[in-house]
Amino acid sequence: MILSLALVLFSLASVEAKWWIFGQSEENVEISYLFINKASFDETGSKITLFKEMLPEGKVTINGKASAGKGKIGSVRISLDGKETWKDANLSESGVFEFSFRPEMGKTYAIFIEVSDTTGKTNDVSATSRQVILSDRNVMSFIKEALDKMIAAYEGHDPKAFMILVSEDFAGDMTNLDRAIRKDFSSFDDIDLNYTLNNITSDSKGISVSLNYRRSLVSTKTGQSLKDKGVTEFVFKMGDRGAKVYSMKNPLIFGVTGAPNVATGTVTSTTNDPIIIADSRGYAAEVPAQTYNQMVTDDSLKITNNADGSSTVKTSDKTITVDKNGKQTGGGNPSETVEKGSRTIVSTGHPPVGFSFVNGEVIIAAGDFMITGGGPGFGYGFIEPNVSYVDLGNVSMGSVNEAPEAGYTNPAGMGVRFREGNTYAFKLANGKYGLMEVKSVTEDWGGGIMQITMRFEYKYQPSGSRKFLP
Amino acid sequence: MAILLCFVFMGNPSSVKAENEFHASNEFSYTYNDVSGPGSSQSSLREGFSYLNMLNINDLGNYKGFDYTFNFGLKLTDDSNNDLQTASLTNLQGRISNKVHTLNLGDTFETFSQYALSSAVKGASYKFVKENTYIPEVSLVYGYAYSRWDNAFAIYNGPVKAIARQVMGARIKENLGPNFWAGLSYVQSQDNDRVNPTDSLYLNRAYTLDMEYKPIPGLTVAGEASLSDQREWTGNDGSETTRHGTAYKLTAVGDADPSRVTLEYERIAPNFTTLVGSATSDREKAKAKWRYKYTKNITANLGFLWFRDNLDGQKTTGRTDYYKPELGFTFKRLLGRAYGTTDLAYKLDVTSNNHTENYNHIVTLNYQDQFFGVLDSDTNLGYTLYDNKMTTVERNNEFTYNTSLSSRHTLGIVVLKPAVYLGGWTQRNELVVSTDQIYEYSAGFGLDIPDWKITSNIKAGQNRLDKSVGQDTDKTFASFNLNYRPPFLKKLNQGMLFFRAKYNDFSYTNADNNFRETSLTAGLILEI
Repeated sequence: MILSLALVLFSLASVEAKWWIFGQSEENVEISYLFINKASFDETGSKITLFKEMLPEGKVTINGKASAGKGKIGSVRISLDGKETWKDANLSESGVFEFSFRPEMGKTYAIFIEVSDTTGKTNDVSATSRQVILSDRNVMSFIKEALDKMIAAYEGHDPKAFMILVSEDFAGDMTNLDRAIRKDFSSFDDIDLNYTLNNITSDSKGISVSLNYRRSLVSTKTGQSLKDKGVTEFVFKMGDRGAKVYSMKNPLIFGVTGAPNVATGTVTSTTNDPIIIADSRGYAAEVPAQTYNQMVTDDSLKITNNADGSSTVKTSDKTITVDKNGKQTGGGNPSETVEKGSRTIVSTGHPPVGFSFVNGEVIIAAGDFMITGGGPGFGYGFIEPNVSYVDLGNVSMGSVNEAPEAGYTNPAGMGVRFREGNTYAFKLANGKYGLMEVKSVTEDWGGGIMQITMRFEYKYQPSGSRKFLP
Repeated sequence: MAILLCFVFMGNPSSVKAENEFHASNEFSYTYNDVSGPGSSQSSLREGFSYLNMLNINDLGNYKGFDYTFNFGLKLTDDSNNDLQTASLTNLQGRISNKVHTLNLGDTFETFSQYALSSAVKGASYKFVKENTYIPEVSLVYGYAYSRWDNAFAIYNGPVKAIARQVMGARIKENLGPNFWAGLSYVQSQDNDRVNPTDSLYLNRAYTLDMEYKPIPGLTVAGEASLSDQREWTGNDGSETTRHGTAYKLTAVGDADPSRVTLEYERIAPNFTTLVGSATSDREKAKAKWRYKYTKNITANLGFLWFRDNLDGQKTTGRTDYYKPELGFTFKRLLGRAYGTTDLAYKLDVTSNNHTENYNHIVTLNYQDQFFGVLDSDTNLGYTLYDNKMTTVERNNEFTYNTSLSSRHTLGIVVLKPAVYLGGWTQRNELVVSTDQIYEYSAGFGLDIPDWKITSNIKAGQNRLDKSVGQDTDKTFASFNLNYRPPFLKKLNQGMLFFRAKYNDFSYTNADNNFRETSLTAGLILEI
């Protein structure tokens, strides 16, 4: 796929025409490439901001290469004052040119580049127009300005103003961040964000920022207040309108509801203070920092806010409960991490209906086991290929304190009968264990279609232990 | 110490005949916070008096053909909400360079490529660049990926413990033609010193190739491929896990009026890991964006993003696909309105897997205009439908609507800037027939006296959340900001005095949660 795409793109190169602009001649005077202090004109935008500490020898250098089809380049002139005056650039036989000047800090230069061939034909000079701003401000003031604007837009629930401050090549993808902040705005009210800078370091490609943040907000799902503080990191790039954010790490302060797709990396907390975590539906809770680090990148994160202010926070391999102040009150040892519940599968044969222990959900055409039929007192179905099971017989699930170590089987291609009153132990594809007790199975032929209703209770042990303590 | 030695070796820049610039800025603020009410523990403010001081020093110049830069930053505070440390270094960096060699010590940010290295380190880097030749560009980096200097050493109160992530990297980049370059990077990061007993430690090696090609003017093709090799030692039981993974990405950007087109494909394996680069593992992604300026006043934006997980079929729950198409238009001077700008957009979010299928439809309309030559308006209308197709958990209709009106009037030496804001948000759950609503209104008044170098703004309003189930919240707020650049600070590069006041009163259904907070801050900014 990559190769095909590459071939298409490279074949475009041989066409020597911009496929999105029509009617250009091969004989035109053109600039093949153009750089200003090693930054490509194509990527700079119409305004370029340069800082004193970024100027080699205090100079601005424009270099590039011009071509004139079968003709020859005669001269390259550069204007720094909006075409009022022109200066000649150093030009080689091959069309490569270079021009340097020592700028005055605080001044804005309106740059144009005119390339002429030996017949007098010139390039599209207006296309080379760039405003170069020589900022006497330091990098920190730009970063503070960008962060202040982002925070104002975020607190004011203004996605348009916020996204203007995001780089088009944002590492977590601009679209993901746009969707995530909109979900944040739907999920949080009264957002109050404050920060102090820890560290700013820049190179020619970007600016790395570390900061301490402090925030409070109200969840629109529950009306509860949440607060936290911590250390996080950003990378910014300088754009034509100042600094724009290129990447963000967890704990995120923007796009919290889309953390698995928005953040690229996590700053490990140096304390175990609570940090706000949110799932993709917008439910949020405070969790201890150590737990946050383990859960925040999991796509399957699901938070349930309880009426008493506590929350249950669940990922594919971990479940904890926290009180309203972010203190962990459950989870962490095998007996506490067991997830349990009762579910009902209603199957008409096709498609099969299954159950996933990891999610605790009834699923169509998937799951650790699936039901396709049955009769009074038993459900009939299949076990997923990577899952095996043991029939523990007619015992209640509550009496099973530990899943067996051995004896698991998967009758590949053969059906399995789940009998009413029996308890089954499962060894799942992720190496963890589950129990299931069939409480009732009924058959209904209403409308001439067989419908099997199987009610069961389950337990899932995400810690990997075989223990299911009461 | 190395930085100091470096400057000792160079001599004092200001004492020799060299071009030298010295800048210093200091921002000092003193804050008083008062929090009261039974729910005061919910406030994020720390009660009482506190201070915050941010000092930055920057020295740069040229000495015998070498450009040099020295940066130093210091933060002082006694409010643990601002920083755990009373005194901490915020910057320590020295850099010298000539046309060919660049040596950086201290704060080091030497970006290799997205997957390889895009994090700052505390350490050193060296770069060799010989322009206008085909001699390869070489970069070397060594240091620790600490978030702050206090993780390495503290100037007061002892260090802030952090995992010591030692980073070593080398990169070679070659211009293979005027329009084509390729780079090869090796980056190793190795963790030491757990902060918590449960922390995992990693040894990560990444071998990365990146390239960029400009086949025709306006078209840039860039690619990156990386192979990672990781060992993890878990904190719980000390078990060791080894992972190998690959990541690659190809991007094409065509940028010239009237269009900008972006095409991107990326595949990051579940076992690909980068600790000092930027990547989300277990993703296959394809993206296309097209921005088209149809006329000077009409721009269209078309985008499509798809990505999925479970690339190795490792998830028992199966794969999840995400589809995010969007279409938007910007109209300027609509209906002949000179300052009228309209943005209209439709966005769709689809999440699909074995057990759920979510469709989120987002429609937004923004209209900005100026009326009677003085009244600026900004109005937003939005509608979102959250629709879960397979489990009947949520089907919500959400409406947002807000408008702001602001104006600016000059009366003699005074500039008046009144503003009002009215906003609302309604969410209706179709299944449980419930409605939650937010109302917000505020009024602000700015008063500037440019001749006296004074700017100020006062704002007050109310924000109310009414819930069908759960707590209602009512927040009454007010704020005041004043900035003044007095003449006696003119010599100090326009130093500034400022004062900020903030008041919030939170009321909940459960009165035990009610609290009020008042914050007053006065400060001084000096620049040399």
